[in-house]
Amino acid sequence: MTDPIEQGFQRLSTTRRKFVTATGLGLGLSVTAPGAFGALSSSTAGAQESSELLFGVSSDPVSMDPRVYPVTIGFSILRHVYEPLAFRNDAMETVPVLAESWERIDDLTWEFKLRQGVTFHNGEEFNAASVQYTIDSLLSGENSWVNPQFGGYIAVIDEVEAVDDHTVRIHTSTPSNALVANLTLIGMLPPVAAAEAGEDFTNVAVGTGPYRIDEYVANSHIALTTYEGYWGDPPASSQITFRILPEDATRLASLEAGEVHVVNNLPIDALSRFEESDETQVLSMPSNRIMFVGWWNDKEPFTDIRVRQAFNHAIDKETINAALFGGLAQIATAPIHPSIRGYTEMEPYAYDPELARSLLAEAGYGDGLDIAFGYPTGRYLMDRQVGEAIVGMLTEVGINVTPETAEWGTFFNNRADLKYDAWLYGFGANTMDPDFALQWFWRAPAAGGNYDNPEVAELLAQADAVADIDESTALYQQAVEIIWNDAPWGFMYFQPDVFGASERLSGFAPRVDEYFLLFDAEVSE
Amino acid sequence: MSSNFLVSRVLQSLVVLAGLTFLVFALVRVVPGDPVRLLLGDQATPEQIEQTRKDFGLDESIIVQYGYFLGDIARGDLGTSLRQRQPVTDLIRDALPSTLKLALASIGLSVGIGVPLGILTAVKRGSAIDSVVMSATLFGQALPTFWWGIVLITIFSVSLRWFPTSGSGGWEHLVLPAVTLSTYVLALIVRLTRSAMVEVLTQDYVRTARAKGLSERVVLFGHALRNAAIPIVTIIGLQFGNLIGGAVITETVFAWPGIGLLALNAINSRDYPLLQAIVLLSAVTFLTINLIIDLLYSMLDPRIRHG
Repeated sequence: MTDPIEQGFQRLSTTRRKFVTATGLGLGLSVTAPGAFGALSSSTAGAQESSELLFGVSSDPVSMDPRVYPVTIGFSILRHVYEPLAFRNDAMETVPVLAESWERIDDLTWEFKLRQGVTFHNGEEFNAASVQYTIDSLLSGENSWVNPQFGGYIAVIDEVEAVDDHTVRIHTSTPSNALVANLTLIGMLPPVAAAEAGEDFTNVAVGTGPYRIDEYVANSHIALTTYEGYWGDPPASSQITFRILPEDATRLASLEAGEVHVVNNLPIDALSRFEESDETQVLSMPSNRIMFVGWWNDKEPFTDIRVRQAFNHAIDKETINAALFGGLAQIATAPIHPSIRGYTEMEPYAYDPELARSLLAEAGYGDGLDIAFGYPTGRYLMDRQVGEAIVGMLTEVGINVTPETAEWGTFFNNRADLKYDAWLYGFGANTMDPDFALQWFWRAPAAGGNYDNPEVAELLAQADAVADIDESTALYQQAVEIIWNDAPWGFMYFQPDVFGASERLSGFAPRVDEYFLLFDAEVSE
Repeated sequence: MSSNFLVSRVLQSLVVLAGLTFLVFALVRVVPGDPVRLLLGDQATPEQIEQTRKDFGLDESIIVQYGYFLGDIARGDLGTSLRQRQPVTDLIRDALPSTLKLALASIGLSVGIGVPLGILTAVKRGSAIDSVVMSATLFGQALPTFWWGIVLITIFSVSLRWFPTSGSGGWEHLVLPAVTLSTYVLALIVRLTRSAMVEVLTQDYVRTARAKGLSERVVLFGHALRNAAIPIVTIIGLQFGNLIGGAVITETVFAWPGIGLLALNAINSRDYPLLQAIVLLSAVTFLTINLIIDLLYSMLDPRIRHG
């Protein structure tokens, strides 16, 4: 059944990009001519309306080319269309997708056996050339539209060698256990169509996934339809439409009005409303995104560990979780989430303002300490409120805080320009690999506040390099312990990922890695 | 109207436009924030940042960048979005129809209701109707758009389910955003029409027209309204110009995929080329509308002679 609102939605008459992909018609026909715009007929909802799933998403993924804009929402949406060699299942175990198996054959080489009989939505065959093209296009530096962040994820790759059509060897510059996890971020592309389209690939947008893009209208919606030639099990819903609803109140109203079946980023203050209603449910899980107070570890006063400990003891994580997150966050007991390899449970820094005060006094700041504290607005869940709470708690222990809040663009720049002494920040390790999750403590120290401990750097480098996984895990555990005790951050909590959904929705659950995947999701009548 | 006037007004507009290009160019760069850092994120190395800045031509001096910008405009090229990596002209072309539709609907609603209400209240000055309408317009002008939009959604989408909460598509999608957007403009037009009509209705020529025995209808619409039209037309034109620049709040609340949402995203990511193009579009629209209004004046009121 399609209600009048949905029908209206399908009659969209704005200009749009319509994706015309037809399996088996050959490449020339199957690729949408770039720039083929104009008012087009309604989408093809008709036949299978009953299994259409409507998802209200809080921002636009920006491009349908998976190489343009790395953002959590884009990763999730495009994961339905493009597939990596391997990915994580619900239990966060790495499982085969386009690779059937892989093996580290020597220190610097990984061999992947590729799945056979896989075709892209335009009919192109998936094979070793696809892997070569995709990785080269990210690393060559020749494609101006490719965001260097993607190349950064797999910077360790030297060369992709095609052993045969369905075997590739990836040679790395240093030994790396994290390679497979990092490849989970890289959706494989059809070399012929992608090379031909260049920066217009966003208008072609064909992957191997269970859904193909039917239509993308920027700032409006992305309509996906099942790909008939998909190699795996067909997904539960035959169509998914992501409606882009940036305003919280509108996104929630759409759910309440039954226009969408599920929404992301449900504001915490709306929790009870959606929990209590008979027609809606709240789905929540603490993600691996750690929220912390950062500071410059190489600058006064934070070169003194007593000051760092004092900050950790001054912040009342439990109260923040209870008052601002309804208890849905998870207090951090390590710098990485418990579901990431290398996690070791540490004792949280207890909220103890007295101890914080005496630590500050011992460090010579008994008469007060001036701190410019920055926090963003609209970036993280409840960020402004958390920032305000931290300001209050720091003031409580005698720190003279100058609060500065700004929208993300300004905040991000101010932080990088050293305008804040301390700041509220978050980091989500979307590969769920310890190498990624701990990189701010050595490889990319600026984002983590210039923590510099050669012992930790050495442990982390070794942990990624050693072939024996148990040994690697033990090394990560050692590093985690040292980092925790060094208190380079004001460790706080893992931010919850909160969704509101219709009671009729099943087969969908939030994930620790912050992806929202709808392969099994469907709406009952 | 002489052709000299036309030529000089067009030339004037071009001079203003040239000045505007610099203003636009400078303004978007005054906003704190760095598009390259934002785009590359936390893991970016200084080398990557430098390289990308170079790729985007942002390593050149401001004056050189401005020179390129002017050269590109002359060739009709407004550049490539730093975030979306698509030609800015394509992005605007895709978003403009939505914004135009919304702007036309709101202006249509505002004028269609506002002008008759303004005339009515002017004619019935001091009556109960006048007081009610005038109070309502005060309310209409004071309503914050954001709040008003959410209230309309709550009542008409969530409770009554008459209209969709958001999105674009058929006419039913247009109703709530157009009402939200036109509330302020409608109130403005009612008040303006009323005061202009009140002033005109006390003029000698109106008394003469009535004394001649002309019907009230002819007096009102043929004589009075025509003379009251200039301020009304001016405000309609200016408001339309405003709406084309993007009704950021309304478009965000209603997830309306127009220029306003495009602009908001461009500001958030410091997407200089896209932001420049949107501000420029808005400025050009304003200038064009101003020009048209100027030309309309002389048609509406022959006393205004340009020579």
